[in-house]
Amino acid sequence: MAEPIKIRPVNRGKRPHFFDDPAIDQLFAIVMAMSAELSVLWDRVDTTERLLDQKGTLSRADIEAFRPDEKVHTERTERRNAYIDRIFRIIREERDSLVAHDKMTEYRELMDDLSKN
Amino acid sequence: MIPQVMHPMFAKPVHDEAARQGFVNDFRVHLASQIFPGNIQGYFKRVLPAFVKENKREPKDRHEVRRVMTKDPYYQLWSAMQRSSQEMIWDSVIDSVERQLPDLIAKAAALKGKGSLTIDPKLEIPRYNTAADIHLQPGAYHGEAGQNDLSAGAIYDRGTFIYSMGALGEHNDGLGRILHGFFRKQWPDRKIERVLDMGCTIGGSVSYWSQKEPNVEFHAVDLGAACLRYGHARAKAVGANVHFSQQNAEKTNFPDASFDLVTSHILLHETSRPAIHNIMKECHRLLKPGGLMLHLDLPQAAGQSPLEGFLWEWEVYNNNEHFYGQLRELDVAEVCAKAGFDKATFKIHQVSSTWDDGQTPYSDENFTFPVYTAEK
Repeated sequence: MAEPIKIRPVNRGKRPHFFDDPAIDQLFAIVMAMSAELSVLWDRVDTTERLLDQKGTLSRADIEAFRPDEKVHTERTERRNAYIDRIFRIIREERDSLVAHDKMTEYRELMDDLSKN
Repeated sequence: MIPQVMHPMFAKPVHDEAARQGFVNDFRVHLASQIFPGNIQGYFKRVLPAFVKENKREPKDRHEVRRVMTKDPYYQLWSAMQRSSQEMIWDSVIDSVERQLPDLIAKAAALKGKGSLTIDPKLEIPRYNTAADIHLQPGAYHGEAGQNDLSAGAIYDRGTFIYSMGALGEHNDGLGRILHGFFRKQWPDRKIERVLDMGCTIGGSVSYWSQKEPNVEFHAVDLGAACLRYGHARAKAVGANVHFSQQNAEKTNFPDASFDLVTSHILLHETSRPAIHNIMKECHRLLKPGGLMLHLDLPQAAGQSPLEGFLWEWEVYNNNEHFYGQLRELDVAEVCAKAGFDKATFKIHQVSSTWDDGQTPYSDENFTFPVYTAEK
């Protein structure tokens, strides 16, 4: 096998910060990365459970080779959406408090509605 | 997340990499559909009323909106998440490309197919590409990690799919579909023999054109060697016939009057004010008399409300899309006129993002791209 090649993992350019204290930006990036890793772990547990259900035993190779079919893919997307909503609930709650509405529609529609009032 | 078609050059993710990429995609969908709209609600609920109370008028432009919105805590939250999600895209893709890179390089060399590849190791990369990594892709589109490297292209292919949340379609070639569909609707009988695509990156668009117009000779230029190597291999893999060469669109080595048609797909906003003048001059030089150019790009500021304009420019300030801010106000007609095009032939078409087969991968089916056209 050929020699591994390393790809530079950081981007070049001035990093913006959005909060008054840049440490909060950093903290947010950490929270998001942790959310991603927990979701990855969730999928791995899900794969393990499905394989055990199916075969009663498993190997690491089985896990690596597992590819979700359409049904599993849909279930995982739904589960991730619920998970993301739960983790970032506090932000959704603030959004819901800003303008009373039943269901957020498309950006332009909302723009039109709000501009009229 | 719609599945992306895995052509032979695609860097296939292992279990956990696929799970990570899936999360980033779903998270970005959540941000766009659930969190982002709160910016608009917050603006009308508290930011605008506070501005009106203080100034006795509404903000007159997007710059005034920026001054107040960037202090709004909800906007700050969304921005921090949006920025992080952008960096997480690349993070989730780089591992799988890095792991397979030697194999991908070998695969590219072994692939049989049409077209050609010409690399110019001496090509000077302009500052608008080196100053900051466009879209935060580490190493940018022109970066090279070693000999025969094609990682920037492999990262771009998967990364832009996640970035667009699948809006470019399962083959990640939606912009080519949109522009080609527009071209053939507008000019159904136009004869074309030689076509140049400028700033082609991995050639997703031009390869689609080549598949639709198999008797046409297609050339494509870009600054990035790694993107071109990947693009050539990808074109071979999907059966396209494209001659790729590493050149700056501002000054190519093709003879005068070489092409019937020159195209670009979201190239212009990644350049600079002097560069866009040079590119249009080069288009004029390269076109045969009667030849046509089509440049598809992102919306300009005209016609947008101050809030809409401000939100559109988030990427200018926070996603290394620096020239887009200037292009949004640029008189492109004037630039083309200075480059030698007759102003009477210049037109800005607002082109639907719906494909010619009726598919609308964009969540907003009314979304249009401006296409700048002129004839020599």
